Parts: sequence; C-alpha cells; structure tokens
Amino acid sequence: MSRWHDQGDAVDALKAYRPSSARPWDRPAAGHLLRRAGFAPSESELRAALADGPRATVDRLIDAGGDCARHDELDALGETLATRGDIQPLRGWWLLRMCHTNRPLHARMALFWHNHFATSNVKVADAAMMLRQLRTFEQRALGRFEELLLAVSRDPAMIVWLDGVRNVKGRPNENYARELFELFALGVGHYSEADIREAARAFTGWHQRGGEFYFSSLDHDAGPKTLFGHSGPFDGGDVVRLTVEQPACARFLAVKLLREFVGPEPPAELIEAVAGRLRETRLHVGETLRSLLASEALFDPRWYRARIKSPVEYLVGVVRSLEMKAPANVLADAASQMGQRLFEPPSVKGWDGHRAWINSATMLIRLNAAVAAVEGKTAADVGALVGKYELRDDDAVAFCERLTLDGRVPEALHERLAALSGGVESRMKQALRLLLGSPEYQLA
Amino acid sequence: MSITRREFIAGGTSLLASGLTLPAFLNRTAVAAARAKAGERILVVVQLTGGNDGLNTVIPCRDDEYHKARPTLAVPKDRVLRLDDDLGLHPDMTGLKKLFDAGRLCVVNNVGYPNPDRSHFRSMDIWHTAALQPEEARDGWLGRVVDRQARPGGPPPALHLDEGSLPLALHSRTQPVPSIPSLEAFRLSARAGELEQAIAAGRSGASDDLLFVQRTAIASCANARRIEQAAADETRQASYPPTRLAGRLKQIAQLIGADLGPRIYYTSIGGFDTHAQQALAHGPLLKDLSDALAAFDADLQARGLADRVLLMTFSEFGRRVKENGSRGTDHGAAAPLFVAGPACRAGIVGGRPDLDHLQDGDVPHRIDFRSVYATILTDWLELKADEILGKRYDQVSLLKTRS
Repeated sequence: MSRWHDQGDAVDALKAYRPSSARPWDRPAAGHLLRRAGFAPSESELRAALADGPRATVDRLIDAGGDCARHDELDALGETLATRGDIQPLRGWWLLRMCHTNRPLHARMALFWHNHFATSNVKVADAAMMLRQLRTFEQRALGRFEELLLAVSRDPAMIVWLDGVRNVKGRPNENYARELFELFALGVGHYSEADIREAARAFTGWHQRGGEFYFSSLDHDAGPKTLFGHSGPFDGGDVVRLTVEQPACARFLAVKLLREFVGPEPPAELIEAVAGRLRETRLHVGETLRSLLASEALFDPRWYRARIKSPVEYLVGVVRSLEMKAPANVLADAASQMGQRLFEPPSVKGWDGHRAWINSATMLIRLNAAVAAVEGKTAADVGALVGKYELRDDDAVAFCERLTLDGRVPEALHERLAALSGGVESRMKQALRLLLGSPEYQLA
Repeated sequence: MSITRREFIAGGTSLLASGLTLPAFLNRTAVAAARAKAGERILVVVQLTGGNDGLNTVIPCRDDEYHKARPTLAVPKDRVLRLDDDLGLHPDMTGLKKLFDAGRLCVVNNVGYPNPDRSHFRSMDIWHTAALQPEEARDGWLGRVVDRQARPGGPPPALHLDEGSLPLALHSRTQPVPSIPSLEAFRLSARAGELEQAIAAGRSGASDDLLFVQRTAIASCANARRIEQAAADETRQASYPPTRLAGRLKQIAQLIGADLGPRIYYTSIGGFDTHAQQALAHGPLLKDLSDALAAFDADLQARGLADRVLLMTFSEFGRRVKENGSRGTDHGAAAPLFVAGPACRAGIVGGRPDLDHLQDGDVPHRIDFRSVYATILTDWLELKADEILGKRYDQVSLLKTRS
C-alpha cells in the first residue's frame, strides 16, 4: 500500500482517482483505462476490471507476471522465424502475440519503445537483430529508463542503425550521440554541439560483431571528456548516467508517456506532475504509470476518445474484443497497408501518429477491415460470443454497442442499429460492421 | 501447437479483399475537392528488378564490338526494330516501337552513376535514394516528394501497387505511403452503403479529431465509389495482355481515371537477373514490358487521361557487355531507361553506348540518373529538384518544352 503514496503538492495533478457519482467506475471509465493501458478489451477483461476497481486493475496490468500458454507457445517461435532472415514473418508473429497476451500493458509499452527508439530493418537488414531489440524492449518495458537506455546503447540493431559501427577513436561518428540527446532522452535545446561531440567520443568502440555487443578497446577513445559540465575519461555508460541525470530527461519522457496514454497535447501541469513522479522514482516507468493510470487526471472527460488509434491498436483491439482468430500474415499486411509496417518505422523519429495515421486510403483499409472482421474466412465467431456471455436475443445488439463503444453510440447510429432485423447473429454482424467502421471507433 | 500453427500459416487476404459493389452515395464535397486536382500531372514508375540487360534492349546493332562480345546472345542486325541508324529495339518490343513511331517514347540511353556498384541491393538503394551513399539516406527520392505534398486527411500522395514491401524510393518521413497488391484493397464490400450512411450521419458535440476522421472516412467512401465506376467503365475500353505487369498498369489506369489523388504510382516487373540462358527469359520479359506499356498508353488515351501521365522505367544496373559462359550476362553498369507519354520528347537521348571505351568491361554512363530525376521533378511535377535531390543536376531534354 505504500506504493499508493500520499500525493504532495508537486504531484497534485496526479491525485488518485476515486470513483464518485460524478466520475463513476463504469464501462466508459474501465474501457478508457484498458484501451489506454493496452488494447480494446474483451467482454471478460472489461467485466474483471469493473469488478476489481481501478486500483486493483492498474496493479494487475503493471504487475502481470507470466503470460498465458498460447502466448508463450507463440513466443518460442520467434527465434526460429528470425533465422529465416526475412522480417515479414516476425511482423505477424509480434501482432499475434499482442492479440493473445494477458499482459497488454507490457505489449503496449514494447510497441511504445519501438516507436521511441525507432530502428528500421530497412537499414539493419537483419531479422535476428531486430528480434533481439524487441526482446530488450519487452524485458525492460516497465523498468528503469536508465537501464533501458543503457541496453539500447549496447543493442546491436541500434549500433548498426545509428552507425555505432563506424564510431572509432579519431573519427567519431556523432549519429547515435545526437539522436540519444535529441530524440531518445532530452529534446532539442537541452544539450550543446560540444556535448554531442564529447558523447560520440565516449561511445567510440561500442560495436557489434555477429549480432552481439562488442567493445573494441582499440577503437575506444579513453581520453578525458567534458559532458554537461562534468569531466572524466567517460565511456558510453557514463554518458547514459549523466544524460538521465539531466533535469530535462524526466520532462522529455513525461511528454512522450502522456502523448501515448493521455492525449496528443497534454497540459503543462500534468507534464510537470509526471516528470516529478519520474524523478521521485528515479525514472521508473512502471511506478510512474502506476500513478498516472490510476490518477483522476486520466479520467478527465476531455481525454475520452482523444487519441486516434494506430493501425496496430485498431487491429489488435478488434481481434481481442471480438475474441477472433486472425491469421498473422493477414494482420501484418493490414497494419502495413494502414501505414504501420512494424520493424520499419519511417525514420528515427518514429511514426508521427494521431492524425497522420488517417488519409483517404488508410481509412478505406480500416473500413474494409471492419467489414472483414464480421464476414468472410477469418471473421469473428459471433455465435461463440452469444454462448459465452449468454446473450439474450433482445440484448445482443446492445452488447455490441457496449463492447465497441462503451455503449456511448451516436444517436443516429443507435437508431439504425435498433432497427436491424434478422436472426441474432445476423443482427450482431450488421451492428459490428457499422460500429467498427464508425469514426468513434477510430479513437481511443 | 495446432491452433497456433493454423492461425499462423492460414493464408488468404480476406481481411482486405472483400471487394464487391458499392451502392450509390456521392459526397459532393469530396468529389469537388478531387476534381479541382484533376489538372495535376501524374508520374508512373515501373521498376525492372534484377538488372535489365540494356544492350539487348536498346541494341547497338551496327557495332561490331557488340556482336563480338556476344557470340550467342547478340540479336542479328536484320531482326532489330530500328530506331535510327545505330540503335534498335529488341525484336519482341513491337509495342514500344509503335509508341516510338507515334512520338510518345523517349529512349534515355547510357544512364548510370559514377563508380557503379554491382550489388543488386546497394545499387537499387542508390537509385531509390538518389544518393551514392544510400546508407546515409533514410528516405527515398519519391518519399521526399510525398513529404512535400502530404496533408493529413487528404488523398495519399503516392501509391505502391505491387506485391512485396514498400520500396525505399517511396519511404517518406512523414506519411504512410499505401502499398497494396491490387486495387481490391480499395474497394468497399457489399452493403457498404449502410456503412457510408452510418459514417455520414450527424454527430452532436463531436470533437475536431472525430470530425476529421469522419470527413476522411466520407472521402474514402467516395473514392471507393469512383474506383468502382472506373473499373466498370474499363471493361469496354481497354485490352491488356494477361500479364502481371499489365494487370497492375490497368489498375493504375483505373485509379487515375477515378481521380484517387496520388501523383505518383509505383509498380515493378521482376526476373531481369539473367545470368544463364538469357535468351529464353529476356525476350519474353521485354515483350511483357513493351506490350504492357503500349496497352497502358492506349488505355489512357481512350480515357482522355494520357496528357496527364508520364511513365518512366528504370533498373538498378545494366549488364556486362561480354556474355558469360552460361549464355547469360553478369552485373554491369549503365543502361537505357524509357520515358513514355505524350509529354516526352520522342527520340533518343544519350547516344549509342561507347563499346570501344569500356570501364571494367561495362558500358560507361553518359547521363547521371539523377539528371533524369531532376528533369522529371522540375518540368513534370513542377517541384524544386535541388531540394529533393540535395544538389543541382543538369537537365536532360527528355520532355517537350512547354509553351
């Protein structure tokens, strides 16, 4: 219970959420939390969250230990798929694991780090290295940022991606040092060009060989460096340590986390509060999220449906909430066509996200995916949902409304759904097609 | 294991390919917006993957060096489709010969770059990024065009219509470029009319983001409708050969006809890596290419769209002048490319290959491929080529001068 620390003034904006008649713990609230901390939930997931309450739900999401058998069975295939050298099978494999995991927040954070430390196989051209990097993101998804940053600095795919392999004593390559400061940890304006040059020297000799980190002492510049006002014979580990000590680091990370979990334009007081929590926990991502996800601020109505779902969120959410069995390659191709080709982010900045996901072509692919989710070879088995949740004939369409839009369906659409005719499964399919294709469903 | 494996290997594209008919619903705003753009010009890029043998495509038929270097593969002088005194097309390229005679084809000969790289992968990257050090580039030359044209919610500025992954040429820093195997992915399924109406219904208290998604979704449905109509119109207009490339070009013509919006379309034809028994493979490939391009041109003319479209081909390199011991050719350097459409300046630029002065056994380049890009970017797409290519390149006179 000490984890639920008493909030001081500095973190007042992170005051714990206590359900009230004004802010009840109801389907929209539980659905909102689960969509932010993972993917659109199944009916079972949602019912469990409603029964457990917000704190227990957040604890369960963060502390989730082992995964389910199906996930682990899939998980074991990764290295085998990677040995073929082709990245495409790994895309579907990753998506399928997201669909089956019972640790959705961990899966979501691995995806978050893939976008944060955006590394593309277009240059790395090595499926095994990309897989190894993903494993690093997964293992350290909710841990201390410093440990993750150090692991990423030693990650073979990253070393290839940002030219660590060319960074040698006497001819430092600044690519990694620059992106470390600009895009991974501090943001523009919080370091100098001299800091970049010195950091690049410290990383000299941090190479990879055969897909493993390799320290080449011959290529390492062991001379004295000055970084952020400190001097010493620094190496890459010292750069990481000094970087995370910079006050800008917590704030930078706070903005990234808030954009992912709250909304595209988080307010200043919330940024400061999350940055404060990060500093208190020595940049512990899991403990910070424990505060944020259970805070009053997360449940502010202005954040409800305030983020446009990424293609992966959209697809994995459909599969999880309809409890479908979608083939891996179909999911991978759909995500790619919607603009999110996993393992190939468009640049080291990652995907721009939000409105950039939506154009008239990608939207059409989403609409077709909505149709295909209920029709055709790989469609959801709505009959199974009727049986599992013992749906009454006159409640089945309303069930679909609750499952997809928390029951908050625009009036015109609701009237249309209420007027559907046919057998129970037919009405559910018609309803789901319209609900999954609705503009509201594109938002989380 | 069984369930997992089944999920994993189950094939099919049904999640996307559910294209049937689309009932009537026309969003006037979206259509009007697309019509306003109808005057814009379109570039279609056809990639010849594997390294096309330029010397057996645009043949220096009167050059003794050519016949000496290729005892089994040289095309006899009298079989070549003559373009001028020195050069002629491979005899299987009757379609392109007709285009040439009609003044709709520009042969750009001896195109390459300094210090040619003979790796498929690296040379392709060089062409895709327009950088001789492609490792430094994170985007493609056409991706940079996309970055300058994209606006959220608008039409996609480029479209990759092909199997396989998005080519580096189309990698953009800001916008996902759609990559679809066929335009089935762009058709809305049956009963989508209900979906359109549900999307278009009014919302009270909608956020800006919700309205943005709604507007875009309405435009998507209008696009799908126009694609549907274009596909229906096409049946009486065009006759394409039954090849994959022709099928894709036909779909591209349909999408252009539907005013889908992209200014760049990209597709490819593979199989040009002819190290052995080249004669068996190369002629049919050139025939596929030539017939598909001719059919595409005829289709665009019939649709009244030809004036808006310029097509260019390229391959990552040409092939060694001297044939190898397996009646094939190995990786080479400079080669011809084609630019087709009413806007091109018909004829040959770049002259004939200089077989008397080979570089490492390869045809030396006379025109830098980035000059071809620069000309197309500047004169066709009306963009600032030096910003996109990072440097200023001489222009090549491959387009008609405009009044």
